Amino acid sequence: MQIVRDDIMGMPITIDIPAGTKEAVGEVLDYFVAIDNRFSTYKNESEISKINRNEISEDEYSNDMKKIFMLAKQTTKETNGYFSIIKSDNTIDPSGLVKGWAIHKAAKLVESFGYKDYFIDIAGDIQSKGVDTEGKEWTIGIRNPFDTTTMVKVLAPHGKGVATSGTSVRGQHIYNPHKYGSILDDVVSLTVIGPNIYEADRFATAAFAMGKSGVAFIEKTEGLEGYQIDPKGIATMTSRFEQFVI
Amino acid sequence: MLLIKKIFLSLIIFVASLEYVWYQNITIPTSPMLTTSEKVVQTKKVVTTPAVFTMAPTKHTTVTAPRKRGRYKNGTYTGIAADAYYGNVQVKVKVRGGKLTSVIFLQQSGNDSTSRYINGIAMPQLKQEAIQIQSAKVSGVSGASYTSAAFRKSLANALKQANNI
Repeated sequence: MQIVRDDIMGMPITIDIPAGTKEAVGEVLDYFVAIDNRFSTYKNESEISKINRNEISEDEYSNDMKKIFMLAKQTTKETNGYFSIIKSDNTIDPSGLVKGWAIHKAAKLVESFGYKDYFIDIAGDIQSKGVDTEGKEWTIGIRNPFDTTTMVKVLAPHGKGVATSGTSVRGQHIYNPHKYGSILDDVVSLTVIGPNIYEADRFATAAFAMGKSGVAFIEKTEGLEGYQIDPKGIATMTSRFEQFVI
Repeated sequence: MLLIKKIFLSLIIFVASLEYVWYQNITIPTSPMLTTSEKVVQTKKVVTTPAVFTMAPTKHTTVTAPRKRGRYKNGTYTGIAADAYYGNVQVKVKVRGGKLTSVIFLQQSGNDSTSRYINGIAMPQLKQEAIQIQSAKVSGVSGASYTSAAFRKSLANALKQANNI
C-alpha cells in the first residue's frame, strides 16, 4: 500500500510497498517519527537540541547519535571538509546526513519484513527497489529548479538511491564550509545516484557545497553518477549517468 | 576580497529589489506552468532553447497586479542583465491583458546546441546539455527549486518597465 504524509520531519514522506500491510507501512512511519524526535534541531526536546545546549555529555549519547557523529566525521574526511555537520555558529546540525541514513535504514527494515518491492521518498531523497503495483520499475523525475511543477529528466534508478541537493524550496542556502558567509549560486541543483540513498544523499550535500566542481567530484568518486544544473539551465552530467535516463 | 565585495553588493541590490518588489505587491511566481521552449535569437550570439515559464491565471496564480500603481502594460519587456558573479542572468517577460503571462530565461553564453563536450584541465570531459522539459508519469520527483538574487533583480526590472506609473 502507499501512504503519503507531510506531518513528520517537516517534509513530505511517501512510502509505497505494493505488497505491504498497513502494519508494515506503519512501522516505517513510526521509525521516521523516532528519528525526528531524536535528530530534529527544530524540536527543543530532541537529543540533538540537548547536545547543542550542552545538557548531555558525550558518554550519554545514544547509539544512533554516536553512529551519526562517526559517519559525519568519515564523510567530512572523504569530501575534504566540504561536508560538515558543524554550522558556522558551532552548533551541530546532522540533517544533511540523517535523512539519507534514515531512509536507508527504513529500506533495510522493509526488506527484513520480506518485501522486495518498495519506494521510500522523503522530500525527494528516494530509495526504491523492484517494481510498482503495475509491475513496472520505479521512475523518478528530476524537478526543474526554475519551475517546480515540471521535470527536466526522467530516471529509472534500477534500485539505486537518488538524492538532489540544491537551494531548498524554503529558500535556505547551502553554505560552503570552507568559506562561511559565501552563498552558493553557481549550481542550482545537483542530483546524485549512488549505491544506496545514504551514499547518494551525503555526497549530494557535499558536492553541492563545492559549486561548479561538484559534478567533477561525483565523476571521480566510484559508484556515483550525477546531473548538475547551473543557473542558466545548462546541465553537466557524469560519464555514466545516461544509463539511468529513460 | 573582490569576490566578497561583489557578493555584498549583490546582496544589497537583492534587498533593495526585494523591498521594491514587496512595495509593488508582487509575488515571484512559484508555480508557473511550462509550455514548450522557444528559441530566442539575440543579436550575434546564438542562444540555446531557454527555459520558458508560462503562467496561466489559475486559482494558484501568484502574480497579482500591484494595488497602488495599476496593472501592467501589455507588451514584451527584457530585464537588465543582472550580475550573479559567475555571469549574468537576464529575463524577458510578456504581459497580456495586464497580467504577466510568461517569463523567458535568457541564456547569455554560447551554448548553441543541445549537447556539447567541455574540455577542462581540472575538470574531466563531461557532457553538457540545455535542460529540456519532460512529460511522463513518474513514481516520484527529486529536486530543488531556485530563485537567485540576480533572477529576481532582472525580473523586477522587467516588471518595472511593464508597470504603467
